Amino acid sequence: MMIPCPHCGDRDVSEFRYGGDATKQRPKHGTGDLRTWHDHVFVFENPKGPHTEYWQHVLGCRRWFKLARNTATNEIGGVVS
Amino acid sequence: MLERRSALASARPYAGAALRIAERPGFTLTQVAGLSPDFEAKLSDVVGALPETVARAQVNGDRALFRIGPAQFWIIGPETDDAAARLHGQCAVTPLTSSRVRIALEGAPARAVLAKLMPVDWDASVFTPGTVALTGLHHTPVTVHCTAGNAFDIYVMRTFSLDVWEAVTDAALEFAGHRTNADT
Repeated sequence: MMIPCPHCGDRDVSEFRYGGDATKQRPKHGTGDLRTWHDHVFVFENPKGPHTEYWQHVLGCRRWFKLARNTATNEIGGVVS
Repeated sequence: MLERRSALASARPYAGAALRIAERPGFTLTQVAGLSPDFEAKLSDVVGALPETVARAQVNGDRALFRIGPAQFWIIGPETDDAAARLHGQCAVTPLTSSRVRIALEGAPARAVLAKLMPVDWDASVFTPGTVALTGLHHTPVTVHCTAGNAFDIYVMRTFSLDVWEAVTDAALEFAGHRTNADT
């Protein structure tokens, strides 16, 4: 699988680190409800199909970015701004 | 005179008929970064033209420049390079000389050796002299610079350099024509 790093261009997936679901909204700063934090930290969807994820070009320019990827086919939809 | 201690002091350089692998010390590595709009102009005033893209090195005299990240460059100069001192106060300057080891790989089989180690297109028509790749070798980040036809410099983190050296020399074993079973 090739991933389009916004800085380095198309690079092999082995140069990248998966950084998690980019569609989750972090609870507001100061939120005291433990259930809200529990769900944010530990509860994940496992979608099949189009998804937006965080990736880092950890062996390259170290840049973080959001990537559209189909989790069923590994088809890359490009970098999401 | 005090001299740098090599992290590869225990590694023997290899020089065969077709392939040579050796540490190439004697350089200064300065990382510079800046977020101000005139960062690149200020940098250019000191070191000359900057590389156009992340994939190409810019060689200005005895310095080579790599674009290693957004608004971030490496300056590879001679051991006496004064670029860091001249850029002091104008941008974020990080001396990295002591944190990197430079391994030189040269010879006709060099591209085949690299192809065993890193997921990059090493074909001579693609990875031409002057090309740079930020990639990974044996799970560690490395920067590879093609300095001439089949000559490559690999910049490796110092603490991983012996491990990377062994990975490179292991990958090169099949090209060490002078070694036979009788040698082992």
